[in-house]
Amino acid sequence: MNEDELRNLFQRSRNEERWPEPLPDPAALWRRARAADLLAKELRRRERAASPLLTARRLAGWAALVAAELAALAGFSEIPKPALDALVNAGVSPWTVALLTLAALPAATLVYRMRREA
Amino acid sequence: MDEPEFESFYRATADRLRAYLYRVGGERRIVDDLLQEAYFRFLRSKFAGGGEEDRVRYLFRIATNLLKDHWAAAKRSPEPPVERPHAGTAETRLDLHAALGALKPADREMLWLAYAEGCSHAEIAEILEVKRASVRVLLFRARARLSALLQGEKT
Repeated sequence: MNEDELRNLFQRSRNEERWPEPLPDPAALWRRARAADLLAKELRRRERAASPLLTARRLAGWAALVAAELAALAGFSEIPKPALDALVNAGVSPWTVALLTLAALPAATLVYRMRREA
Repeated sequence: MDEPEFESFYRATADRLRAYLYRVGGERRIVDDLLQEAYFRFLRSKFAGGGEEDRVRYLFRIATNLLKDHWAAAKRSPEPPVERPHAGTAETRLDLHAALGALKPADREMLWLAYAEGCSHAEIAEILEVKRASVRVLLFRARARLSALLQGEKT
């Protein structure tokens, strides 16, 4: 079967196809696409509107964490000397305690947020 | 594209796309759903490429991807087009219908685009998202398989 015969066969097949159902209404398709466009536009607008608020909340969260860390450091510097001596005698470096305290704060915050979001 | 322009584009292409979806997909019941989804995605894409033929190619590309998604979602290979056409037409058409049903979907896509739609190799490559250089070979093989099936039916 050569190229022309094949082309003829396929095109006749395509042109002679008859469908029992009419074509779907193009106006309905247009309206559906338009509605989806409007919805997407509205969602984007809302996301943009909420964006500064989300940024502000994130910044406030970081500021609160830094403040808490500084407060912990300040509190640590206020520990009386006998207490520090007791730590050293127990074999625990005061710096280790300070670092653990500083690390514990963001860890606790993270665990709290994860539990709230779950 | 405004609404009257879309309607005119739709009237000019919907029958062609319907035939493509049916002959490649092989299931009449899914044709109109896929047809509507293809035009919906076309409209949402805001495709602004060149002329009418660019739009048609883009539409056929969407339809091809929808067929692939349909087969993947159904987790089965496409059913061959076993349904018989409605109107009583040429005998050759029935032969072609049955022969296409025995081919792989990729062969059906390629043959339909080449011979029913009259697409060039470059256009087929664009629609099916394959390399332009491989279209020639793939089409040659598909044509050989179809010829063998058609010859077999006649003997």
